[in-house]
Amino acid sequence: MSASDQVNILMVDDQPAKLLIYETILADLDVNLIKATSARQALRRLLQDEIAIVLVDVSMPEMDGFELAAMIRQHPRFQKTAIIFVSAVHLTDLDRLKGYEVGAVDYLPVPVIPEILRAKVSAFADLFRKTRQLEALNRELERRVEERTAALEVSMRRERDARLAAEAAARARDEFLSVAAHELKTPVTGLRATAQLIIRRLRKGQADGSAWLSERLSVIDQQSERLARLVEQLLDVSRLDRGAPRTERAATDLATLAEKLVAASRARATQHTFVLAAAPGVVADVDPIGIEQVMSNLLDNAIKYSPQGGQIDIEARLDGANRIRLAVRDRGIGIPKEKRADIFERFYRAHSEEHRSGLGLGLYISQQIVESHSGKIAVEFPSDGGTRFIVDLPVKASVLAPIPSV
Amino acid sequence: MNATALRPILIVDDDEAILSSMELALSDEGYPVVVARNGRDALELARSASPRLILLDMKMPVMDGWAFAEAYRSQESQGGARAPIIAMTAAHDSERQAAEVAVDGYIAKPFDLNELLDLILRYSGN
Repeated sequence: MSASDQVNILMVDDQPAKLLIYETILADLDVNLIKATSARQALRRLLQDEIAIVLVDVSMPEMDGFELAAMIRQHPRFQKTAIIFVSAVHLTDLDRLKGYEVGAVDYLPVPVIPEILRAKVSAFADLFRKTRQLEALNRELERRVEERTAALEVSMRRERDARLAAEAAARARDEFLSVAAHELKTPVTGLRATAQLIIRRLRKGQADGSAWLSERLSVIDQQSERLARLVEQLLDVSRLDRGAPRTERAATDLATLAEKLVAASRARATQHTFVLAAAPGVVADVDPIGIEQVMSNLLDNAIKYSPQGGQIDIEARLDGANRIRLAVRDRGIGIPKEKRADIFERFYRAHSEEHRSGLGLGLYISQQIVESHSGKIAVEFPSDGGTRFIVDLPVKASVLAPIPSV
Repeated sequence: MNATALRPILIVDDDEAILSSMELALSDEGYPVVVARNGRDALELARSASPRLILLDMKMPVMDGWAFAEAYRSQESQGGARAPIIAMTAAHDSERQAAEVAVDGYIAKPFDLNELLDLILRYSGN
């Protein structure tokens, strides 16, 4: 029998002989008998052990059974402890009443009939055991309910998070499709209108002179290039969805690369002044196609977001032993403070409200390429306006001796 | 030639390639043409040039097509002739519906130049 199953019976009588008699009567019950010869001793035992039943003699010197019962009942822990009064004095109705007033549960007259004492104690012991079992079951049930409630809350929270994430993804996809449709259809519209204009004029025999035709053909050329760039970006992002960009490094002359890109930008954006600061002869071990794409994206943004024109500074130089720095700075509309944190996110367009073109992919793709070189891309907002993007690449780089002019 | 025939067609689009080719194609057909690259400039032109028809791109910086259509209408409600607006959008369903509510006619980008010219004829006839 484990300690938790044990039922303690506290027997209180000032005459040890009587305690001995009770002990004999109750010996074959499955209970633990504790003896006390005074109310004081009984109280001490009550505080020490968990007592199921107190068997108490009513007439004791110093403190009688009723006084002890009253004290027991005052303690919150013993509110439900069963008390059996044993009384040798006259068994009157008054005595019985007095006993019940203090919350006693039963009353046993003397001479004590062994069978009755055994039956009463046994009944209370059973009640105590059952109550204890019920309490344990109750606690277990409460624990389980709490456990299940907590588990349910967790799964509901998970479900809600998953639903919100799915909704956000669906919204982002719709938004992207809408943006992509617009971005792709716009150059196609220009292409188609221009081609059809040319066809109409040729059919009508209006093709006098070739100046207008060459101008229209260059529109077609530019729009095709624009479309090709968009398609390339879409392919890039779908490749990136499947993993980091593939890079094939080669010794690349930065100044030559930058000059080529700046020349292309100059041809395209006549309102802007391009100022290139590139140290000649800097050869870096980078993926030339990737880095060209990064610089081209930054230049496109610089042009697009400075619609009034202005100066655009391009920097490409060695920065310490094995680091190169690329930077592009415009003097355009900048980026609102609250949008700066998201500009490298896929599909994010800081100026979407103003219907400025773009898929929201340029900076995202650029960042992926820069990170594939273990580099960093950062943005600054100079106090005199505009935006400056800085790319730092920790790559092998060296300066070639200039070829002596003959 | 009556007064309507002399009033120009206003083309509003922020895309230079589309704008310039449309301008040439409409001029070839003998229409007087004025152009604007955003809604705000278009509002001014609509006031000064009193066009007979407006071809309107919806997604533009500064002031978009919806804002232009709304401002143009409230301007017209204060008196004065109101030209029909044909929206040209590269958008799909929901935005197309929104554009149809805001304007009188609609043509999807990329459009066929011949279809556009037919539409213009229908709306700017008489």
